[in-house]
Amino acid sequence: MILQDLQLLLNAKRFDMDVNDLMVKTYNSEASIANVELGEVFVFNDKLCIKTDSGTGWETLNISKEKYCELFPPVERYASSQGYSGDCYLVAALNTMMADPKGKLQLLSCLTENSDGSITVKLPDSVSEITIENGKDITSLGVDPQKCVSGALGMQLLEYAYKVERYVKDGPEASRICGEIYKINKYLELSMLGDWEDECKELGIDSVEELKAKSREIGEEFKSKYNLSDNNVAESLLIWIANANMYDPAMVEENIINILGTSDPNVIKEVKEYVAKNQFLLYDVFCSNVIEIDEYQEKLLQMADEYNYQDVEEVGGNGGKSSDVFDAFGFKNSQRYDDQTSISNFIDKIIANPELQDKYVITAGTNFGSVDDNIASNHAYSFEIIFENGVPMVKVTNPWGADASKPQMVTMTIEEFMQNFDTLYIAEIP
Amino acid sequence: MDKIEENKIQNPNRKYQYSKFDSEMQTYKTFLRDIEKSDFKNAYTRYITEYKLLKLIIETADKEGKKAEAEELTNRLEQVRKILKEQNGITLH
Repeated sequence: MILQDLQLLLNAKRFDMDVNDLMVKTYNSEASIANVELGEVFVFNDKLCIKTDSGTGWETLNISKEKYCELFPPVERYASSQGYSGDCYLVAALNTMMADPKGKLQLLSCLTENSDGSITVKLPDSVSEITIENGKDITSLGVDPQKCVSGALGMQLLEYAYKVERYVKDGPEASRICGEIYKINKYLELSMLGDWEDECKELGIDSVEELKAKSREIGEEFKSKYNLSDNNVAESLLIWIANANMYDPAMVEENIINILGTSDPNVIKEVKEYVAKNQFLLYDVFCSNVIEIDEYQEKLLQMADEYNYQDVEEVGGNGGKSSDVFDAFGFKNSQRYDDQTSISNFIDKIIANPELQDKYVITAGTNFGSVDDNIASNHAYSFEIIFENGVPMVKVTNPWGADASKPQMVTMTIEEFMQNFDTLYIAEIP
Repeated sequence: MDKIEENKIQNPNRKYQYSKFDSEMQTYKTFLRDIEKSDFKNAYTRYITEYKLLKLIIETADKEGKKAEAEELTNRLEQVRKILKEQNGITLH
């Protein structure tokens, strides 16, 4: 394909023509569309279209010919390679989808040209979209060019749109963070943060020593009264009752019943009243551990820190599953096969009926210990079954591209494939 | 022990019952303080996280009848939306 595009560039120069006119041809009759290759983008009735089936089937796109050529220029459109980001699963999936006529339609349908020439990229059923101004490159969106796919701007935008959507949906879950911190703050608050004197005043206890002794006494009473085996069990029961409003009521009830070993409503009512009455003292002994309160607070503060920092970094760049990418772009029934039997069965199915391959997009993943030196470990590849002199072989394509330390394309026997790869990601083309 | 001291100063008349809103605001402030010191302070992921936190806190503020606080946070939410749009081309629905 790259060679075809190089030929286009040479012809354009030789015949002094606009290369875009050679890359995106204009047809004037429906009959002429019948001869267009599957997946080819062309102009018909002043609209940009893509050929999607072997008859005269085509779909209209929401961008102009000029914009298409700007986003997917010759050569670059087929030479997208992974940047310095751990998103091989994403680039391999994008390349695989782009190589299929209907997959290409699915990707190009995410792009809409606005009246001011800007481009909006929105994945099917997404909660986010990205827009790039006319004539700007990917750096105008604050994207580090080293960390995104190199090649066509259109591929960079699709990659970025996926990463943003994934972050919005799967990034740090705000409610979880707040829920955890709420619990932590509750512990800190109720364990007084060292304000033992305040707690003494509040509870009408004369001294801190007396307060601590009272806490221990109530703690022991709580355990023995409800037959709780140790402090951890007592703490769990306390948390489920005292923080009941934070959780699903059915779950709270179930956990209380499990801990108490009875579903007697009178016992449950009594334990709830007991906790309400002695809440502060119980927190002191089970959540602050009275004697080692400073150490406990440190632990809680560390937990709080972890929840604030985690995940706020480049998302989608730390590995992932091609099947998630297929889902996000509207492909159906995505699956991950990670055992030899399922992989082997699927390959056998394709070999028995090669046309089936046209119904799927497929990528393959290696584990940490690939046998073949030409294959990168812990990496994702585009996958294709080909037949060489009637013998079924697997051709895998590395998203690192042609300039990397490993070959871009490797053809191997089925047995060699099974030795080097341990995962297949597949999805049905819509 | 910084946080404990900070908490004492911020809440000299602290009551035993921390409201959910107070707690979430504490989380939000801690997040802002920590992220400013990190390599991700201008990353789109930072603003998306802030957006998600703000949405949640505004909902809690509404539930607890804290109108002024909800309004102030809604203004910040709009600022974050604007930053995401202008800086990263991102629109959140």
